Amino acid sequence: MRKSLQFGVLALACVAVAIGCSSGSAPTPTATPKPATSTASPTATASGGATVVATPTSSSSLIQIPADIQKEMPLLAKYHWSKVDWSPANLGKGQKTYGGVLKMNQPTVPTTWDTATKFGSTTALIDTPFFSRLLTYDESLTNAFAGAGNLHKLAFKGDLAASWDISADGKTYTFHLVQGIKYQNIPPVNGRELTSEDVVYNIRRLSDGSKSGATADIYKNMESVEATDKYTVVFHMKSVDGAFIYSIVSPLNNFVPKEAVDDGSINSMPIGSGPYIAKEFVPNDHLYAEKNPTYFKAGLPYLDRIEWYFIPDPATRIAAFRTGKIDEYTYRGWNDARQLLDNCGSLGCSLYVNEQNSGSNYYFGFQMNKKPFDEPRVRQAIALSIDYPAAITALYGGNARVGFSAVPSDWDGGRMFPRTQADAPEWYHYNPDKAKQLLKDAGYAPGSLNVNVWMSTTTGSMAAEPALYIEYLKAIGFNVTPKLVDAATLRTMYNSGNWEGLLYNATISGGSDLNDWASIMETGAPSNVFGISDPKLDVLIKAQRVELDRTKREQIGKQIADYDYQNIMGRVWLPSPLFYHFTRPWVQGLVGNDVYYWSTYWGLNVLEDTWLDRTRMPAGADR
Amino acid sequence: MEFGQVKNIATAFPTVRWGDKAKKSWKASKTFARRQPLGAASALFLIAMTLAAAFPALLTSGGPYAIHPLESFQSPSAHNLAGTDQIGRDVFTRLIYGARISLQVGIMTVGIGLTTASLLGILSGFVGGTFDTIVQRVSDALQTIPGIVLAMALVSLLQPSLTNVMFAISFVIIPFNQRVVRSAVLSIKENPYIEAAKVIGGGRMRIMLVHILPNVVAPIIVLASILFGFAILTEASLSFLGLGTPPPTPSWGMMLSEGRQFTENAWWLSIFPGLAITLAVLAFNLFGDALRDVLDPRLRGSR
Repeated sequence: MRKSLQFGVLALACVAVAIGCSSGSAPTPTATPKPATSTASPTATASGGATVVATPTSSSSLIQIPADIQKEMPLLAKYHWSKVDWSPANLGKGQKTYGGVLKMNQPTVPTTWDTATKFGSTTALIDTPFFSRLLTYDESLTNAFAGAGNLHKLAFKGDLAASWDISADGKTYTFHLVQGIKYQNIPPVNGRELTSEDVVYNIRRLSDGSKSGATADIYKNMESVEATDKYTVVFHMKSVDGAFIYSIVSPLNNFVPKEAVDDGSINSMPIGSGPYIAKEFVPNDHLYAEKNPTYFKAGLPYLDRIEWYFIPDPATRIAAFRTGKIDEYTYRGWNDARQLLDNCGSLGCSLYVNEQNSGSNYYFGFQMNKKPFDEPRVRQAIALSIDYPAAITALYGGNARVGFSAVPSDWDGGRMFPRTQADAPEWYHYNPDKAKQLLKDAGYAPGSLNVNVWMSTTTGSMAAEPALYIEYLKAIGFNVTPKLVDAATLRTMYNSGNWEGLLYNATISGGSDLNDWASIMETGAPSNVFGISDPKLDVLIKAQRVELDRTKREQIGKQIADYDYQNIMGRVWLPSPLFYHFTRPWVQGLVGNDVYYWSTYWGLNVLEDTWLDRTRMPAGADR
Repeated sequence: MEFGQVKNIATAFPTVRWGDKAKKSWKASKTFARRQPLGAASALFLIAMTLAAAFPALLTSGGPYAIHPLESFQSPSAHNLAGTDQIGRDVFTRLIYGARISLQVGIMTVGIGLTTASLLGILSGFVGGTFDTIVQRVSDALQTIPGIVLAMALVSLLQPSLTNVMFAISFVIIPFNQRVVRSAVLSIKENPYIEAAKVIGGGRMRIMLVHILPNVVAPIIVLASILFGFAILTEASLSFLGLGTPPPTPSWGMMLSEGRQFTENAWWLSIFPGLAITLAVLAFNLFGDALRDVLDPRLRGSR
């Protein structure tokens, strides 16, 4: 019997070897992706919202979602609009009261509190309660809850600055500080006054390219900065720079006290002049802060205490929200949002919801100065091969917007850039037959194109996105070999320009100015990793850079965007998902914005204006 | 022939009469099934899995990459036995083709890794001395690192791909398995016939190939069956972590990872790949146990 068993094992092994040697892997795909024929999936309209009419999932007809809000919120319109509380109090219009504890979450832990010395993108998600800067974003123009047409326009207002002037030649910026601002009353600053010397000290550190922070680029056009008196700071520019005033609004520009830098205390705790004082910071676990009684803005803040819990895992975050450990839930993910709406947890489903553009447009990138992408027909074929409505439906349940630009489609309220498939340029309308013909006309036989496309290590949902796009490209005879690396390596590769193809995402930089994304396409620009070199585009980009008038800058931006669409400069834009943000109904004034990625609160000082409505809290809530 | 008494590989497998052998094999199989029901069931499962992976077109249609974006997240039905995933790919089809990936990983990993381990173990055990000491100390050092961690490090270094995954897992299994083979060799090399072979002038290579190797085949076969399960599980783990076979290749581990975030809405995306991994690994382990019981004479008395 032993011999028989050995024989059986041998036979099994032979069959298995035959399989292993047969094709080596699954067969070459031959199925052609079916085009989207259904019109059921919501598409953004020109005014910025879904066209799907809300179908109540609950028998309750008492809560009516405003019609203009319905259009802005396709996920809610499709799923559980009845679970959202649209009452006036929940729109931040109630009587503001003092006191209480707000419990928040952060998916990432700040790696530094001194953004001049270390890249601090994770810090900028959480630093506005502790620090001040010259200017801050104006959150009064926020999202659809303030009115459907009132989308964020990148407006800004003074924070430390009471007022500011720009000289006629555009080369001198004068900021007049609010007088009597005090640092937080904790060591080593012990509540001393913040003056123009502190501002100058910080600007010089932030603009120092020898440090490892990410802010030096913001000040590349700055010639010098000086304190002309105790409350006046003057910037002298090398040349006119229309982006400068917007760039310095970035929350990467933390103003830290010199004493905290000198004794190193800034490395362990945030110390500044903001509305809250950090009391306890345990990395990877929590950060607690309490009200700053000497905050320079009279009457603010309202809350006694804020607790942040660092929860990187989405499932854990949902659970924490459901059980009441946190009062707000913020992260990308329509599927997470849907799960939360399906099961809101023990505290009930009366929620305040914000849907926002991710601010992060995904794209398929390539080197325009290398074959085959130097050929416009190849680039057009790539764009034509993708069925955008079907991709949005499949990948995001309809909850995504098509980029068509490095600038998110509703960044400007939909005034400048197209937001719908109907508005899309010719190349963004699915037509695989035309794509194949273009490749043939360009001299590439079906299957003859083979490109290595680099992407970050994909797990979870991100694995579906490249898989979908690879199949679309293969269907027109364009073969893609996916090359997986981790996110940090991909970033390094991106900067080096040493790649053929890239599946990546474009984000507005910390400066958040129109010219920031346009400059990526400028000939010879350090950020131009796509080999783009177009004299006509260069003229437009340079013109925008020196234009100080906002309206005119936006008009030039539209011309740049149009040029990009028509000529597909370095990137074919892919759909980008919408982000969702939920808060409990007693949290008032914690509104986000439609512009920025990662965090609803990037650069906003909303927490100084947040308050708790105790009439809407459940009995016994420990807030 | 009893275990440990193979003296000449040339006489180990005499001429076969297929007709009589078939009858004897069938009888032996029935005996095996009666005495080792779990092992027999596992063997049947593995045969079915192998055949499905060898002839997927008989069980599926469309291929594992065919996307139907508008038919995403369909629950299991007669049309899609295991439902569809986020971009409308048939999960059952991907499971079948994923079996091919798993078997490929198992074969190559076991083939390369176990062969290397066996040769190393035989050499180390038979030659002994400084060579044996060096090999064993290096193995000790490598074994202090958990296998999955070592595999992750190797794949990260080499970049995720199916080939690199197979190499990494092969490397990981060498230290422990060479030790098992070495221990078998140590017990065999003290036998009188080995001494006799040396006396009559048998060279080291001849002794290892003709006298040592045939007598360690049995434990190697048992190891192979168990390592198959380990290789499949490790590949699934690496793919789950994003370090294994890149998308869109249908890997059970990657499918499990992709389905993880949709557990509440599309349970089939996680359950079926998880079940496939569980059953495959279990089957290999149970079959390996049964093989060990049959091939090891020390355990025969306990039946």
